Amino acid sequence: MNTLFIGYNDGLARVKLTDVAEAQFVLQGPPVASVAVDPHEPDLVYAATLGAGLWRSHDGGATFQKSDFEWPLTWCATVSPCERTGATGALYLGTQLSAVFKSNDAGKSFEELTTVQQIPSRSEWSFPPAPNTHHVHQIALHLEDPDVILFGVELGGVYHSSDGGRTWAQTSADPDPHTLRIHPTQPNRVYEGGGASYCDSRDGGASWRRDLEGIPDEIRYFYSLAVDSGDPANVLLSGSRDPFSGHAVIPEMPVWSSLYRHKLDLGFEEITDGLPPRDETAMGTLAAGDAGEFVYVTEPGDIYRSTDGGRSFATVPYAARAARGSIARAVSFSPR
Amino acid sequence: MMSSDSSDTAQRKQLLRLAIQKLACAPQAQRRYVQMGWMRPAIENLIRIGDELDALQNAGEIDAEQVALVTELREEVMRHLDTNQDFLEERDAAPREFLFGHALENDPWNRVRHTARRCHSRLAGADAPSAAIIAR
Repeated sequence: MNTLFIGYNDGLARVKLTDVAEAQFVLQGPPVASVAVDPHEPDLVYAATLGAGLWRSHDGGATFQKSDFEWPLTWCATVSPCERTGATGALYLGTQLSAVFKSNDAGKSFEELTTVQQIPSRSEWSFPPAPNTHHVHQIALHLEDPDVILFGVELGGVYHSSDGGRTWAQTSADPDPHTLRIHPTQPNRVYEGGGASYCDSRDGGASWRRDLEGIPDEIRYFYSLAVDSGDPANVLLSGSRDPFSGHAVIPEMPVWSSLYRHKLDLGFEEITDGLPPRDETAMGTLAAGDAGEFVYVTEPGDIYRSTDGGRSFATVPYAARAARGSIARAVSFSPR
Repeated sequence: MMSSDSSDTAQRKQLLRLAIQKLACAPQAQRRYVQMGWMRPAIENLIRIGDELDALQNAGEIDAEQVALVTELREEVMRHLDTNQDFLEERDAAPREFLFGHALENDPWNRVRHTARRCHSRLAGADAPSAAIIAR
């Protein structure tokens, strides 16, 4: 795949990857927290923003228009691969404070899944460092069963429904779900890059297994994750010693981050080939493309690409000056 | 221009707010703060500044309702200090086991957490949502 959407702290870029990365800034202004391409209608692209609601594109991401969804802080957008009305897939949004909304008409109208507000543990949800800023950070939807829905609250747990959101069960996944992914061809394989651990599930997210084999004890914080579309056992995960050096949120604290690769039954191994030094780079955002293909958009704004399943990476020269220095919050491949 | 007294008062309010934030977080985040060595000074700041609330109120930094809530939280924390110090240090556990464990998930600290959340909501006001935009 050769087109990426990169959501930055100040907008959204559509990036063509060849020998170089050529960025076109298609949305300027708000932080873009999540980008979703409708798998049924790839010209339909959604951008969830922190502060400016939901934006839609009907031309493959060349131009975006603001939708009527006015919830100010929208953290994630996900389109169902198996549930559709007419030509477009069911769209789910996760917001701050934590709520889940669903649209069956390509984002024209939404219905809240109000059962989320009745989950008993809701009073325990909080986003460090504040208790009243928790949000639905991730939503993952089953490939074949529209009744299976997963959502993750930062910080409050991963919740699983097998009845279309009528009831929810809290799972044993890490309660700080930074990234949730379902494998694009193996419907029951689900993966989590959690605040304290990598976790995976082989039953569609109902039960989870924690696995940090091979990662040193001092690496206690994880963020982005991507899974090889051609190999469900090949997973890449970003890690750091703690969130503060990992995200460079405290100016006087040195940055530190690394990338790990998980192979079935062999645990994790650190990836160093082609990546910048650990003590010069804050945690970036991963995305998976074709089989064996990954991109890693580091902070500040550099793009690294792997075509050998994540064993090694190469820098993609990226001339977009506006992107440098801005946090890459969301990275998605476009099938176009 | 702010006088040194007023800037000192504003700084104390900020330290108080940060201490309350740490006591209000989810347990896994709090265990990480313990590992970072940030929870002990937060507790110390709550106890110290919580003893000077009259000065903050007189300076107009907090109101009577906020004073009552902070006092309630401070008393709740101090009640548990003698018997329950699992928030202050990581003991007898490997780093990951502590992070994945259940420290701070007992009833006394659940009560502290809920009191701190009421307190933080009243203290943070309109500033609170920006935290989620700045941090990723």
